[in-house]
Amino acid sequence: MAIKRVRPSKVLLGTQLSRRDFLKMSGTGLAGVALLGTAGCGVFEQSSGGGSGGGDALNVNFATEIHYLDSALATDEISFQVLVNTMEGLYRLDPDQKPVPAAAEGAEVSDDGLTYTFTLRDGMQWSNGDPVTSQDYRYAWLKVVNPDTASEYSALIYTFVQGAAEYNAGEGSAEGVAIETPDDKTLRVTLVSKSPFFLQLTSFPLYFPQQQKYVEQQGDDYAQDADTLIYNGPYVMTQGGVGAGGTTVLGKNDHYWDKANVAVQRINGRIVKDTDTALNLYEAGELDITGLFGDKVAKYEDSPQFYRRVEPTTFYGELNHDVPALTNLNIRRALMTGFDRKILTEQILADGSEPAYALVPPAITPGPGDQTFRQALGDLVPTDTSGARQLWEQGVEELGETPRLKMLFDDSSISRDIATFIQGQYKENLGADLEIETTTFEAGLARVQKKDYQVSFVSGWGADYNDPMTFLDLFLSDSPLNNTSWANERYDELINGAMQEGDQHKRMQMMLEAEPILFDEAVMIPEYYSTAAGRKKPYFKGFVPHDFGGSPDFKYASIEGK
Amino acid sequence: MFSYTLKRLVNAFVILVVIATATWFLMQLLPGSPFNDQKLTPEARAQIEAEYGLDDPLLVQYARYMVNLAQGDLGNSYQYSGKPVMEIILERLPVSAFLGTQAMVLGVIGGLLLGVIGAVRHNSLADSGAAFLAVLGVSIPDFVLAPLAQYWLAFQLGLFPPAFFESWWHSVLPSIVLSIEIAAVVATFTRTEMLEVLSQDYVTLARAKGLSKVAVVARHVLRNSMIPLITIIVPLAAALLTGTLIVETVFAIPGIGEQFVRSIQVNDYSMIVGTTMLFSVFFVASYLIQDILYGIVDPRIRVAGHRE
Repeated sequence: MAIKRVRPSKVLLGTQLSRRDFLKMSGTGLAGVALLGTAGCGVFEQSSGGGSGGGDALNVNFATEIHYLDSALATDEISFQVLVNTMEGLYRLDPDQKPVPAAAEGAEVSDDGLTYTFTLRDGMQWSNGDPVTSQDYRYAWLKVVNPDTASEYSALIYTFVQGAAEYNAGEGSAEGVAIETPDDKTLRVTLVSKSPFFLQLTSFPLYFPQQQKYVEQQGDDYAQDADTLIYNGPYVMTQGGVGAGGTTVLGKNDHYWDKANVAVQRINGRIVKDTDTALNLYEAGELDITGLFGDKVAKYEDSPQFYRRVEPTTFYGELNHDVPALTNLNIRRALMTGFDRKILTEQILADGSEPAYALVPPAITPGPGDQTFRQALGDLVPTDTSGARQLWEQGVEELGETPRLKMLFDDSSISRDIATFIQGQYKENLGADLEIETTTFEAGLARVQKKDYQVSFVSGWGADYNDPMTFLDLFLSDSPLNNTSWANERYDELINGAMQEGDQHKRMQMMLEAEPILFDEAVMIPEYYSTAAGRKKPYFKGFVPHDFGGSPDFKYASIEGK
Repeated sequence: MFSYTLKRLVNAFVILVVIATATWFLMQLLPGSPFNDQKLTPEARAQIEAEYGLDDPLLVQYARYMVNLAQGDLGNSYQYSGKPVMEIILERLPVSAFLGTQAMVLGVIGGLLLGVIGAVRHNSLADSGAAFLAVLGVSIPDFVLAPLAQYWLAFQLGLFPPAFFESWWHSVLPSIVLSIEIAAVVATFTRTEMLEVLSQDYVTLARAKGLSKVAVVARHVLRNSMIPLITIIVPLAAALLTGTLIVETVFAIPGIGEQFVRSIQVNDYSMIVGTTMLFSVFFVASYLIQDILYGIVDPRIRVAGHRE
């Protein structure tokens, strides 16, 4: 090959032809890039002053797009976070997680504990200057329970408000729902049962107001982006929208009734989905707060910028009582006690989660006297696994054969680790061979609801409000969310009784008597209480996460000494 | 040429209809529904599914979907508060397309240079170096390369902005990362093809006629090495233009690529179909362009097509 001996420098530069060719080629390329750069101006996000820009701005990571801005439809964390900062419910949670009057000056509760009369503050305005009225709340609440709205969380209103369940089921009417507005400043609600946590519920995004006139005027566009929504909370959205990929900007709301107590001028909600990128951006000062997951929690545990809180969320296994082997109490008990939860949280999860030995998590604060519910009852599942083998063998003897059981898990990598761990523990502690079945989280939920499972570790339950009832009513025999087919008359009697009981002490006693029944009967298998951990910059003061509804709440935030 | 193109267009249309149908029916096999919230009671789910027409017979749903599709209506997203899928695509596609185009240009130029060097300095140190780089580029996956490049070049050395998509400067590092694989593929193919073409009789003839070596490479060798390159580049371009999950996620870029994966995970039916159709249109279009390009590079193909 003659060509092999050609010196490359000559090929590239030695003759006019080749130089021209390559110049032409590179030139076209460069021109192309330049052209792209010009044409591309539109594709870049308008620099939001994000990054480290602005000493009075907080840069937070939403980690995902906003899915809903319509408070009647929202179900996810980020939508809730945006809504709690841009809207004002009748009550708002304070930094100690207690409901305090917000849009309402206060509430009067009738002697029977069923009727709440709220009085709205004077001079409250929407961000467009319109007055906020009691009708705005009534309209929004009715919208949630209207069957045509198809709100996924409608149960959070219709379970409590009289007439709402009927309206939602298509049997009643909007007029039949016990929400009245005697005048612009008064809202009267009558409840189905005595719910001492109702004030706190009014701080939940589903209970936020919407102005009928504005909603109807916007039609299908309502709450699609910053410009098609009006606000009555501490901040207004000035940039961003549903499904938008860029930065969401929240600016201080000049129409907010309590604007004197809002310190931060601007919040930039960035979308960084990769957790390592987010952590690096935090280090680089482009984010002021970032969540920590998995093994990163242990890595930064000792850092002064570290925060962690145990959430009111319990992960637990469900046992399907329609499965013949699982009607045997000893088998159920063996499964309930058969694995070491400390090893599970410390070595398998290793993300700061805490071992769970009961259903109601420690983060649920109400309880008898000064105690929380959990403090009063303590652990209900033995921490020691040594008795489990005997229970299993006894159960097998009673059944007359060794049951072949399948455990259902979702297919995330952490769930796979948990599955192998629990399987190994059952083998070791019970001498039992259980099969693992994995499916997607969505399919798993669907199967559990259809009771097409034996033992399921697919999901947990997060509290909707700060009261043991948000967990305990799950196991009522007629609860649509009871996937275990377990029914117990005494349990139903106690829980239904507590719902109707006006005396807080008696009510609590009933719930205290009820929870241990779940564990005497080994209805479910507690695994762990989950934790939220992260890091935040020292200058970010007043970081107030909430366990219920939207979080964090930037109304209380400030930037000091940045 | 015209009837050749027309025939290709008809083919493309049929393929798209088949893809739309197959995607829709495959989607029905996805377990679960767009409404999987654990707090949703079975009654409430039934109510919501009725509201969205998900309880209609499959054929009714299919007919509705095809009619809408024919009118260019991709439906509304289930996860994003009923936002039209077309709107989401129009917001995000330009970002991915910009990044992809830039990566393509960089990759092809870089790859051609490396390939030509490798071929003309066959078996030299430069050739080995180029080959080494090419193998490296092909074998290091994006999910390793992207975080590494980001960590070292942006966070540690501060040469580039680490993330987001706020200016042209922000697009450079992700484009470079995306272009590496293209450059590697182009370099490998260019080198192999050029070596083969260089051994052809007509090259020897051209040299014998007194043409300079350089002219031979530029006029004959490079052009004839292009055909297999087009086969590789065009589908690669279609894939790049429609976004990439890893690079978009790592660099926090709001493109369309990561939405595709996400929509499958959450059973957002309209988004799944919308993004799948988008990819399909790009791929089908890319093959169309490829066929036409073949004709330009190698007139024999055009003639053959014409005769059909």
